[in-house]
Amino acid sequence: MVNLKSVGLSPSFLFRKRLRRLLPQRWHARLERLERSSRVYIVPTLMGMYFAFIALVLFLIAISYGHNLAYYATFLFFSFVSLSAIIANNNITKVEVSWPRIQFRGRVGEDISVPLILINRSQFSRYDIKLEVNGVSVAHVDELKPLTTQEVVLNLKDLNLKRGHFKLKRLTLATRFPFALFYAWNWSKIPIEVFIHPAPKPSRLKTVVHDNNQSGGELIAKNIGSEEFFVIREHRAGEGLFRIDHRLSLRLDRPQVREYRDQTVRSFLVDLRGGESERSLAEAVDWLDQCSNDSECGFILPDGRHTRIFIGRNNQQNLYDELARFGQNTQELE
Amino acid sequence: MSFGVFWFAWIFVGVGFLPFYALHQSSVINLFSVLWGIALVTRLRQWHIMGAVRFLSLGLAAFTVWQAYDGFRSVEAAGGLFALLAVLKLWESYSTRDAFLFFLIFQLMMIAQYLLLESLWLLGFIILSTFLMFSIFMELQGQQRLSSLFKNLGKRRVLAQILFVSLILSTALFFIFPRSTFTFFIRSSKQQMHPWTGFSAELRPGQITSIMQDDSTTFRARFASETPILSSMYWQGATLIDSDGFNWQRDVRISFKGNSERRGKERFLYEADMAEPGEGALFLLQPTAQFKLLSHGVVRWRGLNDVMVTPMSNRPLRWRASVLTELESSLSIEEQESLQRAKELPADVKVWIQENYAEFASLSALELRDRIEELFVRNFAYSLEPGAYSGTPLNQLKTFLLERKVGVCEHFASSAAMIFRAFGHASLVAVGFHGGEYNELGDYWSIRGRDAHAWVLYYDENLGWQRFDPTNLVAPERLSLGGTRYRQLWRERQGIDFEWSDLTQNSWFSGVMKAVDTAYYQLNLAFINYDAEKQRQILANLGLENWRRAILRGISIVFALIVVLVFWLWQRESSKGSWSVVNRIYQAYLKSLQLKGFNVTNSTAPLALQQQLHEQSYASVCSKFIEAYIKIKYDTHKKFPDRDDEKLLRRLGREVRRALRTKS
Repeated sequence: MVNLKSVGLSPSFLFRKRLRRLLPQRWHARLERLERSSRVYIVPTLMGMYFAFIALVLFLIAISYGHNLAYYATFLFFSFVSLSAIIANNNITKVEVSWPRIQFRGRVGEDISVPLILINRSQFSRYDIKLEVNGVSVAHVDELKPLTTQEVVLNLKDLNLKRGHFKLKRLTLATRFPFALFYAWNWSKIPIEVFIHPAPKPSRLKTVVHDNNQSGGELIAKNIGSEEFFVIREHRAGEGLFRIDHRLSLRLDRPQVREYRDQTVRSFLVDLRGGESERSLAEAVDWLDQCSNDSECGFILPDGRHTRIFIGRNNQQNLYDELARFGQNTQELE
Repeated sequence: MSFGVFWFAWIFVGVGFLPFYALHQSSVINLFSVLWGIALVTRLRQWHIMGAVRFLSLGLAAFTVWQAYDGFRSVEAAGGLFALLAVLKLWESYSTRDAFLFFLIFQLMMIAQYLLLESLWLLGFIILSTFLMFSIFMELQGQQRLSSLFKNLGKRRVLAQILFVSLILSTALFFIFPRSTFTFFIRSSKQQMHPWTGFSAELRPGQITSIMQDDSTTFRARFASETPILSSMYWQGATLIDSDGFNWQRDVRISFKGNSERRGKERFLYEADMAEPGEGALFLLQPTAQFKLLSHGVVRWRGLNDVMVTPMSNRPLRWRASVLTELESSLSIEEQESLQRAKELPADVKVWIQENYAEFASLSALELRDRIEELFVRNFAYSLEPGAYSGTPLNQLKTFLLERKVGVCEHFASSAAMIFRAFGHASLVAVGFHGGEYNELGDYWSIRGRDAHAWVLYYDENLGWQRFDPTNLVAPERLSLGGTRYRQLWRERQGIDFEWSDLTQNSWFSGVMKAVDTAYYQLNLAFINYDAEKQRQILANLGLENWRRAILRGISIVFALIVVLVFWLWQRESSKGSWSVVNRIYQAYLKSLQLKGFNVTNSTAPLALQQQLHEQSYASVCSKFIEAYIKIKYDTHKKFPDRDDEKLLRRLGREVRRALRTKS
């Protein structure tokens, strides 16, 4: 789960959380329906409340002492505070988010960058926009020029995501511009998924891959296949002569070499049962990192369930995702 | 907190506190200066101050304030404490939050200072400091270098918009919001008020000479209709009754019937405003008919027109008064005692005067006055730089009357008053100002230090208290020309080439200075001296004298809401959709075609329009516009038009209109 203790949470997140705590359970679904992504929400920040308090004190002083400077300062503070609320409110409108990809992967403790595109559809610049996930600021845009798009990279590292599969339910666009007295936000629904794979840990599985005979009970592996012709290329200086294809060399008038590649399709089915499951998963990631791209492999997960056997580099990704998902429901980030 | 923000904060706290040193105790000022310096050094050297040291410093600050103000229950103590807290906050200013907290404490410090002093400069400081503080707040959002604020035109524009609307809104609310006719708290602090003018409770030789060196304005007066002639414009302050032979002192126990305001025929109604807050004698044209203090304060009448005021707020004093045309001469029994005091003189001085001026004996007050006139006219000279007199009071008197015979108004007034007393006539020395400088731009008189003056009040059995100004005999130009012009004349006679004040007499520079002074005076009247009575006057001028405070309060709230709403609508308009400019240009294009007589509506498709225009001689220009419009608007790859698209459409739109005009 997301560790929220180490970071300061945004007012939007806390506001929703507290509102839900205050309202009865049966209202939560209704509240969900009431929330609109196009709507801008605004609350005063702590500094805003301090300033409102100072303005109130000044006002009482002005009345009590009949003090003209206190009157003027009160009205000046009031003006700045109220106008800044309007600016904060408008600063978040007409800003949209689009996403070039929907799936992102990373490992526990590593930087996970999610590129997004911010679109400013207004005629004026937008300033100091923060993108927040789970109440944590994951990107900051100093200025978004009018009628432009800008690529923004969300860095999810600060969320301290643990192993799992996450769906970004909503991305909060927030601003404290201009004076940090108010915090305005709205949110966008973006269908982004994030897989957090376990961080690899060196394991005995690593050596077992190279020595099938000593694999032991924890690794079941089949080794089928042979070397096959792969490509013809020119002979390079210093290479042995035994691979030269003389016939072809005569035809092409230059020494040609027939290159073979090990086309062995190794099928591995790694048993991750026994021992501490998180460690096994971490070792499995490490093993998968070492594994040949062309290998056929799968896992017997710690709960005894067999994964599908995947072949090829791209499909190997699915195995990483299986390891990320193991024992976890898809979690929502908002 | 970046170094830039630290610099701002460091300067803020210094500028916000040190110029008001007169309002605080020296121990607090000293401690503040030390802590302020340490903040700078530690920041420059990148030294970290330990928490324990900070805690001890906090304790020291609290203890110092407690000692200096005898507790924390006064506005001065609050101001001092907040100032020290603010400067201590600078010691540990690392994060953005620290910066915010610093400015909060700073504002609390400034609130305390506002209560200690009301001045137009402070109003300017409020606006400037608020603006700069919010600028820094704006910059702290991005957590970037402070310099980037001043580079980002867009942010500057937003800030300028907020400042502009805020100034309008706050100024309007300032005038509309109903003022109380009372205050819950009047000055209950232990603040020491300072005399305005340099006049103290006594008059020593040389005192007026030093006051006359001061060019700054002491007070300003505006006459309602009639203005007295310059030579009779005596702004009388304190009356000094006790004398040691050459120096004079006030005696608070002495009072005369003629000291209080009297009803009768009155002239020269005027309103006057002190330039600075302070306490002491007010300056009134004598004899006073009616007098009203327009600001909060306690009035004490002590001598002939001797009005002492202790202000109950930290606002410069304002008063309204007029001049009585008929004098009263009768004295009550109590006044006879005071009159006796006005005849007292040290024995040695008395004997010396009687011996030296034996011919003055047994003369009436009026005759004596004539003889003193003759004495001064004959051999005495008036000088703005008479030099110091030393020795015992009698020696000083002897030196002046027999040897040097050079002096300024105070020497003549002092000597004349003593001669009166030596021969049994009651007399006093009155100090104040004579004349002033008329500002025709603002239609008011500025009375400056250089107009300081002293004269004699003597008692005539038949006429009562009479004013006698020996300076009028020795240097009549001083009274007929006024202090400023006489000073110039005197310097010309003395052969003194240049003085800074000459510059102010230069025609254009003088005009500029008068304009600045008028603006300052008017702003002071508008902002610092604005009160319930002025508000009533404004309402009465508008024919709304029946409006009650509740109505004004309601209007203030509605006005504020309207301004905020208008600002919101303005901002909303500015954040309109991305296609709005393109649509607007196209609508303008359609409208120009409609005016030309084409049967087009807003719903006419661009291609159909192009067909319709095909036959026209200016079709090519119109087609270009429509093609560009279609390309921009219906290009599926374009999410919104960019600036170049808008520029192109605008240019083509102009060409279309030009073509249509040419055709017509």
